[in-house]
Amino acid sequence: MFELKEVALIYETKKQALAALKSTNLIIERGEEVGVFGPSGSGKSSLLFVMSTLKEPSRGEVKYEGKEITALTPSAKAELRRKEFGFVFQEHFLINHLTVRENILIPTRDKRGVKKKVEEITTALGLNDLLKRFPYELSVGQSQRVAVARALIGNPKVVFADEPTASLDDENGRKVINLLRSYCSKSGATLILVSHSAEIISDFERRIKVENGQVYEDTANA
Amino acid sequence: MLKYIWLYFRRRPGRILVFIILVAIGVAVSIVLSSIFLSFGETRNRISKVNENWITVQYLSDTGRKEEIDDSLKGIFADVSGISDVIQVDIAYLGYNLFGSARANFPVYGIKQTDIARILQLSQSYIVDGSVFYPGTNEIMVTDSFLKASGIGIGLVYEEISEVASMGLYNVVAALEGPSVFGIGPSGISEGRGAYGFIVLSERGFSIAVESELRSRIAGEELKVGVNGPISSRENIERSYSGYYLGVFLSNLCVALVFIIGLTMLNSVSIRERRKEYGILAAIGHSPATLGARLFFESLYQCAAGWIIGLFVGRIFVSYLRTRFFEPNGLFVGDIFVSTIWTLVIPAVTVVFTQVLIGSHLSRDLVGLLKSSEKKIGILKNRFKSINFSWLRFPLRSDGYRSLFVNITVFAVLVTVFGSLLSSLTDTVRDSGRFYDSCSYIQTVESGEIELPEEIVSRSRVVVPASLLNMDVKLIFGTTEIFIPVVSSKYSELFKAYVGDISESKFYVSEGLYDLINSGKVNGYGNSSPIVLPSLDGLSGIVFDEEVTSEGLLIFHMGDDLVEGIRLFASEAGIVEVVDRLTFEAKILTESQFIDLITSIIIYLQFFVVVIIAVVTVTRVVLGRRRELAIRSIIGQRRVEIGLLLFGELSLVLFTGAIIGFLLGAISWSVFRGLFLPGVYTASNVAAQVPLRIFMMILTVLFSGLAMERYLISRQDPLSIIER
Repeated sequence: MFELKEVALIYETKKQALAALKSTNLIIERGEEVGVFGPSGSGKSSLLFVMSTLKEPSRGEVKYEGKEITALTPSAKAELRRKEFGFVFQEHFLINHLTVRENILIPTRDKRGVKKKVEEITTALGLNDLLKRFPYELSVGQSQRVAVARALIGNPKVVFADEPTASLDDENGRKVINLLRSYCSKSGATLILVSHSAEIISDFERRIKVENGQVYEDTANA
Repeated sequence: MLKYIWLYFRRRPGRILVFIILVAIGVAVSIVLSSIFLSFGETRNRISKVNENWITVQYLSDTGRKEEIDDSLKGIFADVSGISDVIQVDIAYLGYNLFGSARANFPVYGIKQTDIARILQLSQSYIVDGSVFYPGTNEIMVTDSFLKASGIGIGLVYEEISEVASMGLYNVVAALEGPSVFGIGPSGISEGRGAYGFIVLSERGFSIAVESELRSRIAGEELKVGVNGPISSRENIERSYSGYYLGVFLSNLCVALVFIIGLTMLNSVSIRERRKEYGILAAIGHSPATLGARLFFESLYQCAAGWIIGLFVGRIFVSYLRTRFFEPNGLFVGDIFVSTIWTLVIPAVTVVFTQVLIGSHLSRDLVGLLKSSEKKIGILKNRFKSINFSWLRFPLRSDGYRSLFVNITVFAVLVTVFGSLLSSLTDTVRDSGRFYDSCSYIQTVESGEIELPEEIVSRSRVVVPASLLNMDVKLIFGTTEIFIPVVSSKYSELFKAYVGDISESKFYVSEGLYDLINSGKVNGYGNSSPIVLPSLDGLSGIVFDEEVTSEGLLIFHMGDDLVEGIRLFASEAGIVEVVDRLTFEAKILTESQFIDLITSIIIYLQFFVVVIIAVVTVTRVVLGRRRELAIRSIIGQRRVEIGLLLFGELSLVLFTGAIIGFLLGAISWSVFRGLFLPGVYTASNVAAQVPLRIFMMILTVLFSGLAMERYLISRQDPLSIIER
């Protein structure tokens, strides 16, 4: 599904060049459950951004479903993100003037069957009573569940989660991880979850340790 | 405190500079507009001023001097005490076009060669160029300013006693300089049809008494003689200035409103963004009073800087106008001291309004202030949860677009009110010529029969002997002349088709003219009560009299082609007066010149201010929503979709504001007309150009806003925005 060849991401300033990713090679298959971990500043989030088209690598190739995606136009990248990918970040990044329901619906363009889909997903996430609330009326945990609902509403084939539990307590963090894993296992979607803690992803099918901008370990659970 | 202000200035130099520049522009524009209006008043003042030095006693005649009137007047002069000398004059009045703000009559005195030195000494004038005229010629001396206003050099000047300029009546042989505006020519300058009389000089300190005495004696002898002296001169000056003072007031009021509203809105944006800063300052021990004082001085310094720069720039512009506009048009710069002081209104009221806004924010509790941050700007309260239309969500649920909405509404009101006000002034000139859309009036300067060629007669509906009654209609700024045809009652039957059923020997007028006459806005009207004829258009009228000295012909034509044909005949036939559709088209061009200038200045000014404020507001909205737009971009919304969302929101806000503003403006205009302009003729309720101007304003704001949004979004990486 994903194939990264010699991918590097270098942040250049006037004074210095900082390599967030150095010549990374990686293949991720469809339906895999991948946990990416490593210390802060190791380049794990950069890896996620490059794969999800949010950052353009400084060099190297990123292929998705056999197609090179780094050279796509901004519109084509946006279309790809909308149709194929779902995102959950450490912060929920909800839009304050939109209600919970409207926030969930942002990625959807085709409104057919949406009502049923929203109902299913919000029931599963326990958001049914919150649909008409604004984000600033929600707790942090509730907000993150809304962000998960927004990520999943479009039936993504890949879910990218960047430190989704960092601002949550243990219980809520576990809930969010379980929600994402449950969706991916049922739908056959790929989950790529980034965390600074190895413990959170300890039971993931595949764990990738990133250090100094390189894949340091790539292990699979039996 | 200065250190704090300096820190603020360093943090927000762009916005402060925009503010200072806007204040400066407002002040400079006020000064320039005042100087334009006052220059017209000052020039009229100088024409009237000639009668401060002497008393002019004059009568009109078509056949030269009338001995019996002259003898009667000489008898009166001999009896009135306080008269030191009398100079016999004849007077020609030449039109002095004050850059289309209306005409003033410029007197040229025909006197004996030997009296030149006396009249120059009395009027404190002197000859600056050329040579003195010679008796028996049509040579005259006029002021430099008149030559400039007429666009001619020493050589030829045209006579404008009537509406048709006839070149070559006078040769200008020298120019005069002095505080008054008038001309001198040789005795006999008005030979034939013109004004005749005497310049009466009084002993020192007796001029007012002599003028009063002459008036009463002349009235007692029932002579049709006019007396102009210091008393009427003062009245003239007051009357001519009052219109221009009103112009200064209205234009400055408009400019002040535009800038005060704009500047306060600009400040409101700044204040909202700095709420957290106020909270921090309050938290570390600044009392609301100290904080209020600090912010007061901050806006005061900005306003003061803008005012001083504006004064400086305004004065430079006035100097520039003096050489490029006033002097070449024969205008004198008036005293702009009072209007300079008036410009203080812009910074002063802005400071007060800003302080009120600051006060309302400082009255919030400390936690409320501290929690205010740029991210949350725009969120009002929990409302409008069930809106399905995405373009309406942000505008209705937040106050992000509030200042833009208020801004566009207020400006739509201003464009409607001031656009209609300014257009109403040209309405009068245009509609005073409506009667002549279907007819032409021609007249010989000297009495005599006109023989129309067969070609014109055959293509005319009716040709009727007639004369013209000239009347002045007061405008807000100056006057305009209207021409009422006077026709013998025996021809009334012929006019049934045009003006309805005529049965009496009366003055028939349109409704518009009737209202003006009743409200005392018409000079030169001496007939009995006019009768309204609904079929008459605009400011039309017609007088049916028992006996009419046939001076000219009123030719009703069947098509427009005849207008040109009659004009051609008139020019081939020699000196004739023509009043027709083209006369009024020319009048509109010349007399609306000034109004067009003022309209353009005010309209462009409004555009300028509204665009600046709109761009600031839209930038603020877009910057405040950067995070939202970045999120939209990350989760897959394309730039086009985001752009369309902003386009829709902006369009809705702008069009709704504009429609509300237009309706409010139309209501305000009706109220304004009723309260402040009773009797002033306005052809339409709201000027036709107003919706177009508002539409253009919206388009300008919309596209500048979208350009700003595109620039801000396309240049930034969404991840860097949300990570910030």
